[in-house]
Amino acid sequence: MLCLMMKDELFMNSRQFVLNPVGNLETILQYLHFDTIDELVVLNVKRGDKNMPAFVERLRELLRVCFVPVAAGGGVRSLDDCQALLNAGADKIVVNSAVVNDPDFVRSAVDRYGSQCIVHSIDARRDRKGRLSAWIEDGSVDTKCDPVALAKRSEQLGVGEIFLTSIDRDGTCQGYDLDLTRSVVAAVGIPVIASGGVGEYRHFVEGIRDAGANAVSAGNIFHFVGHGLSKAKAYVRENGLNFPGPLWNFQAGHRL
Amino acid sequence: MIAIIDYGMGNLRSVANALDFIGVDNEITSDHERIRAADRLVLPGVGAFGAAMQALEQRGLRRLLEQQVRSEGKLILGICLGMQLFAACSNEGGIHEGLGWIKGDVTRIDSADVNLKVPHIGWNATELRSHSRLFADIPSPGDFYYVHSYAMRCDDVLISAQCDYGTRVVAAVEHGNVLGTQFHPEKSQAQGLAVLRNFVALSA
Repeated sequence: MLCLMMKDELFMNSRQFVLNPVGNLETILQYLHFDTIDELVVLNVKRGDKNMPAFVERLRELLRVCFVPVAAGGGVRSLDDCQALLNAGADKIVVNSAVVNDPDFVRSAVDRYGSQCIVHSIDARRDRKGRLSAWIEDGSVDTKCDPVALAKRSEQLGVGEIFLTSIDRDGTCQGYDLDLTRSVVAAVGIPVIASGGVGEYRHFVEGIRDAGANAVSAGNIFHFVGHGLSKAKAYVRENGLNFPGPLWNFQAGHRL
Repeated sequence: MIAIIDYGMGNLRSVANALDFIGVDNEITSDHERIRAADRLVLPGVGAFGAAMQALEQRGLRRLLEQQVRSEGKLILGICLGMQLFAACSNEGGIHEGLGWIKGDVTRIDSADVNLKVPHIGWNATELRSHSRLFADIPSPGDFYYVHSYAMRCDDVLISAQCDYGTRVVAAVEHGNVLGTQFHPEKSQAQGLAVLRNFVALSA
């Protein structure tokens, strides 16, 4: 799946959560082939005041031409935020800081929309000794909480999926933090999506086969330009992983 | 015009986008007059069964749908939770009565494979039955996108597609003018759009 990060009208690439603009909606639509993506994650990565209404409007624009499942979030604090994102065409809501700051809200979102609708995005970072901790507020606040413990807590809240990002690996092209992924996969019964660090197709294979992730995500959109995703999926299958999902035929995909 | 029933808890916009894309006049509405004026209906749904039935009741939509679908014979496509609501009952978070148009019930997915997690989220190869009207001209197995923890159980003759998730999962039902998909056609790319096109082409 592709993770798109939006800051105002710009799409960003991220390296260890430091953002760089890559284009606006027009350029994204020009270069990205949404019909080769299995799933899309769209995050409002604007720091500080998220300006949710503006994000919702841009999401709505993006999703007019995009018929894949979409999880959206970034600064989701209330049921109203959830409803606004769903109304814009999102299928799932991504929560992060709220799981720590306001678990009651997360529980009420689960009650209202169902487990399958709520995705918990965990941003994990290692300290100098290699100890993991979950960070919130766009990676600016250390919760001092072990990502595994946090994942378990959100599973108890009824969250349906974990979107697990390694801040250290994010944008580095060194591959997923497999130990991190493995430990969270082992601890929870809900699907875990590995994120952060993909630089080569083999990293997708490692995430699924070696770390047990149920899905793999990449945020560097250049992986997805042109035939990138078709090639990635073909590579993963050649390596003996038969994960479900359409093997996109690039041309057939266009024959909508 | 297709009325996409708005009862306050669905992925309405994506259904509308998909219908827009295939060039079909549609409207997201809870207005009874507009629903009466529509030539077919789509009942989407994201959420919990009990809350959804309550939301339909509160808006007077249960009675209206009953009249439109059962008495008038208007075509309706239920998507995901929308399809599940057609069943007689569900045991999601207590026992809840459904619309009762499909003789069956809705229960939590009980996968025999412990490695398969619930909710069932993602693309799954789906066996399409040849008698189906929704899947006419779509090669079987198809690939469709699912997001659900509960699934329908019903008479085999009503099932027009199924997938395997450690247990048989009913993927689509067709019972006269009442049609439903457990998967999300509006999120299943080209094949999903083909299902919507088939629905649009049906005559009651």
